[in-house]
Amino acid sequence: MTTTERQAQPAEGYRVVGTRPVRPDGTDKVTGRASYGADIRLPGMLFGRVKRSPHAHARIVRIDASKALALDGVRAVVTAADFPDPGDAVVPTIRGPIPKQWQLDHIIAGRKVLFRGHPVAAICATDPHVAEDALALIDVEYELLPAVTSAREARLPGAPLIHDDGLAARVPGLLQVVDGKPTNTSRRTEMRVGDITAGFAEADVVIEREFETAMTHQGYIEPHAGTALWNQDGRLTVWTSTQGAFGVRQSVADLLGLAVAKVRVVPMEIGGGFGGKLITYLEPLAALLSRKSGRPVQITMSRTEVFEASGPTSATQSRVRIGVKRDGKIVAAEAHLVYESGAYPGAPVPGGARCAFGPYDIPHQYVEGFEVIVNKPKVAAYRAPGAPQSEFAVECVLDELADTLGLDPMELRMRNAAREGTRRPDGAVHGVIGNVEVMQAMVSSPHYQSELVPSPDPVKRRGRGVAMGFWQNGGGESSAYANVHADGTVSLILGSVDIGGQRASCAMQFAQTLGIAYEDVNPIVTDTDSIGFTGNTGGSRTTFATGWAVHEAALDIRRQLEQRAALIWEVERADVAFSEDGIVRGPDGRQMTFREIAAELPRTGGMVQGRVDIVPTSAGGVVGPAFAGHIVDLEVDTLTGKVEVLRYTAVQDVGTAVHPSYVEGQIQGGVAQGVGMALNEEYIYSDDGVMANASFLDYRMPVANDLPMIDCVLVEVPNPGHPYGVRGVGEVPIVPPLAATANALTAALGVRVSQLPASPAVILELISALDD
Amino acid sequence: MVVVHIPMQWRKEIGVERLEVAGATLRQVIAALDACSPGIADRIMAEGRLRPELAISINGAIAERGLVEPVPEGAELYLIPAIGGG
Repeated sequence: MTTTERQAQPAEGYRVVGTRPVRPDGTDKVTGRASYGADIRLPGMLFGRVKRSPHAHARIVRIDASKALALDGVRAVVTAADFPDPGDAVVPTIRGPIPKQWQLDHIIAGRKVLFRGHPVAAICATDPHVAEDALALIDVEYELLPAVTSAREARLPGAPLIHDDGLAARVPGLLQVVDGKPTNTSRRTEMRVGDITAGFAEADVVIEREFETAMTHQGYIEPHAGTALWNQDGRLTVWTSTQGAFGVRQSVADLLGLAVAKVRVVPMEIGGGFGGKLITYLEPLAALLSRKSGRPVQITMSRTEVFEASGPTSATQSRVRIGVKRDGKIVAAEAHLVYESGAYPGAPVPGGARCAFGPYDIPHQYVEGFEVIVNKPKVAAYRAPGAPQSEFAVECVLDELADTLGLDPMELRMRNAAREGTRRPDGAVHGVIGNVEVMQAMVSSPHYQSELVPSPDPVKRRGRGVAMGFWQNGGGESSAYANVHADGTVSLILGSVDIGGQRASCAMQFAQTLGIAYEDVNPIVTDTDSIGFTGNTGGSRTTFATGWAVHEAALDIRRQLEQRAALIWEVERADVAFSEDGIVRGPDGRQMTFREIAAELPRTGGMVQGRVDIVPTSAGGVVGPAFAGHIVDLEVDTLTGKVEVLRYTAVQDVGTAVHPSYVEGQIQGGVAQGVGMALNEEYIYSDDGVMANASFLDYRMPVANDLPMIDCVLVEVPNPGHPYGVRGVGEVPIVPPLAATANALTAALGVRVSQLPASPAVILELISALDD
Repeated sequence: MVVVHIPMQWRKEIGVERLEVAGATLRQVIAALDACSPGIADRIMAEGRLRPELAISINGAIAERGLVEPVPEGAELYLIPAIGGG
């Protein structure tokens, strides 16, 4: 894959922002020196393994670990009984309150297992092979229960009830109740704008279709890994690969009944997350094993464990109905969404609901969604959680409407584009957004302007598809400390884990504000004891929010250096000013560069630290939502069903591209994952709930030679709610590929593709039905 | 006065689509809402704090300062599900 180079120059008006400097973590990563989750080695460290359920749904009758404990080298075993009893507690979460018992059950089951791979015990030994052997000696007796592995099955009358412990009754709405009995259907989401009935009454053409997507995994290359040392003084240190060290700290403290101040979490380098590393799986188990054994304990997952027992994204069913006037104006749109949650509540239905019609200005909208609990792993966030699936359905119906009306598919979209002032279905009103600019850039792109030439091979058919995508992005709290050194360099201490270039983008914004060179800033990700609270690296928030924090930290340093210069020059503070070029100027032509004044710090009162803990939106900031539009050409082999992507162009409003190469990398990564969801990726389950393809050999993710050059077009409509116009860029590029690919396939085959992945088997079935 | 749009799921029980109340902070607005429709505060808050699964849009921007968030006169508030990113 390559990319279209947008610029090698800084963004307009900037010196550092918009350039493409060398990434600070690059050398360590390409030389293999970077330390990821499983790389840490501590003196006396033991190796842990997790005993997992082979069944998708079963009652635990008995767990006997005595034989395992008797094995030479085994030091400790833990089960759910070793954790503090959660009692009747109900805990608030961003997905709504749930019984605390369910949080613990997800980590380690005590009463029932709810998915294959569900942990039932953990063990540690002096050698990983001994630990592996010991797992087989833990005897678990199960009473098998019927499993349900799809929302359709789980919602049938008489389906086995997965959560039958009665705890849901403590949380209204957690499980939907029918005839006085709880069901597997969980929370309901509903949104409305205008009067949907009146809206459809105005429509000249109405199209309604149903769509399905499969459960897919983020496919991060680094499996989960957690290491813990429970010291004799009661302090716990955790080393882990995570998108949010502070979230791990809270989760571990809650589950183990520890004070937060007793827990320190050290984030290691992270080999991908995409939302899947916002959750705690191994760390509480490693911690309890450490307490029992008195030694540090490390647990890592295998790839099979990652597939079976971490958090993929939901399989979904959607029904979308859209009504338009003959001139192409959309007057009404409704969507009904059913997302699988996996074994516990928490499917991203709200994200799907809020984004479904995001790129459009529609006067009458209605969205209803349900989460459904099934015997599969609990879903986790996955890049723009919930949005790719709902927007896939909407964008496919829009294409069909354009075809029915005889309109170019982009023309229909542009006639209905959301713009500044458009109210979203969640009530928020768009500020300055680049949706229209993205659509215009798509239409004027060489790709869209080109003709799609038919294949010379008669068995191959080609098609072109387009789709838009919307994601609202996030804000939240971030901290940054910056220590000025006497040689004029700065150590920039961050609480944000660097998963997609945040060290570079934060160092660049910091250098821009302080008027120094990017190379003079050393960005460091630190542990939870060494910096103030910082939210997760997720939700496309970090370059926005932590970028704001480092900007404020630089301003803090500027103010302190102005004071110091006034002291040195013996002038009034008000007569000194730190300029954008990094020079402090005073009266009578006095001036010092940043480097010169830094050299004076040790002898004039000591070194200076800039320090900020901030919620940007509380400081007047506005999160800038993101819009993307993709164009794809592909070719279908009608004999084999294989699809080849011939050309792909991804256009995106990126606000200000702080480091354009990283932005392009985010876009290309999102496209690759989205194309994988569209064409190949899916969890395949047997009838009894066993995943049949839990390896990268059988779970088919696209690799570099499956994809063509992905051209990136960066549209820069700066976010006025950020000092450097930043918008999050990491999530929205995964939204359009599903629909763009499906629309291209539909164009190639002449039949609507409504089920993803459109694997060769699905394509051949469609062709076969067409031939019949 | 400020206008608070009631979430769809609550409208059947609360009986209205929006309420107009007075208040200069979210805490005051919620107290005023509860006076109009007793019990609504418990839907918005738990243990004296905003529920994490709810986001509150004030004039189109998501409030991030909890109950102390200032609410300008004439503001329009929406109570919407919070969304976590990836």
